[in-house]
Amino acid sequence: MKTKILLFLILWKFSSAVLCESFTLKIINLPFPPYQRNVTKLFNIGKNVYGIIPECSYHHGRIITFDDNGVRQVNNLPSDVLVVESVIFNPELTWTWDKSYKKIVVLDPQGVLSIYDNNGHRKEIQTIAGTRPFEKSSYQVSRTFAMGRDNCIYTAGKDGYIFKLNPETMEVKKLNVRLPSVKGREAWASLDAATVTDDGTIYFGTFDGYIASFNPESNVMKNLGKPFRQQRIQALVYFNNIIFGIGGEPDGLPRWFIYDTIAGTFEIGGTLKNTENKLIYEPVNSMIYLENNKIYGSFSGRLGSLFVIQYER
Amino acid sequence: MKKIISVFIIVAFTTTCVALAEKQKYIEGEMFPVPQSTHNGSGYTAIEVGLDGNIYVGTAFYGSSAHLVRFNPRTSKWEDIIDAHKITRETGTGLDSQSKFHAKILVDDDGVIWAATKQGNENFIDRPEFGESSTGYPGGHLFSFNPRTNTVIDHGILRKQEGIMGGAIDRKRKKLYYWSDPKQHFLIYDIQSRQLKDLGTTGGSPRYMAIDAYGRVFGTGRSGIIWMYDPETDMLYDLLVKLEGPGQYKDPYAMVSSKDGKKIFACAIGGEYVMEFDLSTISFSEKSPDTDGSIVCRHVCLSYPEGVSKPGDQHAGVLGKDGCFYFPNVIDKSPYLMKYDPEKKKTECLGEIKIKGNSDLKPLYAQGMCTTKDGTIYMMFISAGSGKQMPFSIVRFNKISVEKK
Repeated sequence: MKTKILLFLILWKFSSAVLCESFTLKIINLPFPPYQRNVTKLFNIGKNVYGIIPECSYHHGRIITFDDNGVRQVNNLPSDVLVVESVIFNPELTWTWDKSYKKIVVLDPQGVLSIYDNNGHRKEIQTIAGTRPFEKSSYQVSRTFAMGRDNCIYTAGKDGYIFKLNPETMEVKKLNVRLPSVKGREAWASLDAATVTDDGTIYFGTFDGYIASFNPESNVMKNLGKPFRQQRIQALVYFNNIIFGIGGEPDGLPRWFIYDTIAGTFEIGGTLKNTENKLIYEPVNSMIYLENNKIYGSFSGRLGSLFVIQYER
Repeated sequence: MKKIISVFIIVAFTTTCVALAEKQKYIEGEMFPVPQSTHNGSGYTAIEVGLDGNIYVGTAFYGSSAHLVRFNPRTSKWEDIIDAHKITRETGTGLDSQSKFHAKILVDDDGVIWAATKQGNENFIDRPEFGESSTGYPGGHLFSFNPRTNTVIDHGILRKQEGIMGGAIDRKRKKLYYWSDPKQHFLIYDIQSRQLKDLGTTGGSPRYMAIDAYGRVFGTGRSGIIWMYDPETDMLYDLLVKLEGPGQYKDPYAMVSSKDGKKIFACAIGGEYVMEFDLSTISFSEKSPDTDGSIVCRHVCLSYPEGVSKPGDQHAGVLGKDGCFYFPNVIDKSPYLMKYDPEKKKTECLGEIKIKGNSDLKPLYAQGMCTTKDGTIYMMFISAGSGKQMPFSIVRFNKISVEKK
């Protein structure tokens, strides 16, 4: 009995320590010209961070790069990176480069998966997304791809099934594993955000607001639950054994959370405020982690700015 | 030495007397209390004169249903035009009620009155259900009222779970302009097609919007910035304010377009100066890192009466028929009616506001104003006062801004 009490006290102490180890966030806006606002995608090539800003036509746009010294517009990405303007500046498309940056994988609003080769030629692969009940022409399309450590690209299709694409062979496999959803919501199970850990585990954020871990080697999906009592996971980034996420419906308020990949616990952070203590109303388009405990992100909307989140534990 | 001291005392005494005389000058207005059943003590910028000569007033009824009421100056009678909950069949209470007609009431060429609602008792920081719960505040409605047919139309919710504020009308293009509260989105409502366009956040919460001769719409944006909507490009621009004149720039609260539409007159809460935004100075070549261009604002003269040592509360403003800018300035709980003459570049204190026949009543905060054809100005005072509590009323100043011949 004494041992049990002692064990209970140790566990209680340990769990309290985990719970109390909270984060503080400092969100710093990076002022930059209005025509460079609303960065829809952030990515890094090597140590350089780039952002994509579509213009109205969706066939044109601007590319920016930024660091601690500020934001600059650049004319081009490095020459060995494939650029298809009608793809990268079109916010309606879900897209990513392959590992070599010489191919672009695209999922269009009709749920068709295609690939652009290094000459910019498009090859349609197959339709992977499905429609929702009673909305026969409206496809539930995943908004992100995850690049696995195996260099394969993962996303979700009809009824939340995971698809694995090998960009080298252009082979697509529908895996016998699905995103979490409650019964009857399978048609809405699509990917909003994803991030990959050092050990190759992929963390998914779903349209319905679930977080799930996926092991590409064993094809095991684990439902970690919903950090918020609402839909949508806007962005996820992994660093230092934690998943930092921002979620919430686009017309609601963005809220942050942290999933500790070792302890397996969520920490719910609440709404986001900028350095002027003003509530941030607009959803996050994109986030990226590079190094030095800094997360770079972009808020959406007319005044949507780039931001840096500095966190302290 | 004695002579110098005597002269100094005389000068000081005379100055004090002049200051007191200035301070003790009164201006009397006639008070018309808004029917008690339609409010619980206040109203905001929602006041305008219709083409029928009636005064349309939007009330605030915190936790319940706001009303649009009409005052007939000829009979001094009130009529209840819109009970927001009755028309919308909503039953929200507390924070979720249609409890304010806050946006400026707009009048079209055909005499149709446009009014819009918002939530009351705002608590945007802690309120978790904002934008996220179907049981929360549904969103502000846009209404039209046709005085000729006595018909009210509910044009629906302009933006989910957000209130409607501001308000300007472009009668030529048949467009209404508002912004949503709290996300500050600029909303354009096309009267003919009944379509809504949302141009995204403005970054500011201006109670007043101004529209110029070209149909460009202006409002306060982020700190130190005036936003401008240009209907020709259908774009919103952020203009960095470049201050000319003394003092420090304060974001304006009340703003009106000048008679020729070439300037905007404005004043700020606690601001010391009347501001003139010169629309001819809008430039897209000079800008800061995060603006599109710039505009010059001139601090033309002090906004408070001479002899008073500090600026006060300036919550409302209106353009008189004489082209002057009229605004109340509440200093030490006393409201003064101020007049800015753009030709002379001078302000004049028309006196401390008193209620005709009710000298024991002390009006305090005026939230909205309008001018009738004959230059009469109506001010809407909330139920408050440092002396005997004043009822929520409109106060009439007969023909004080008569058009110059």
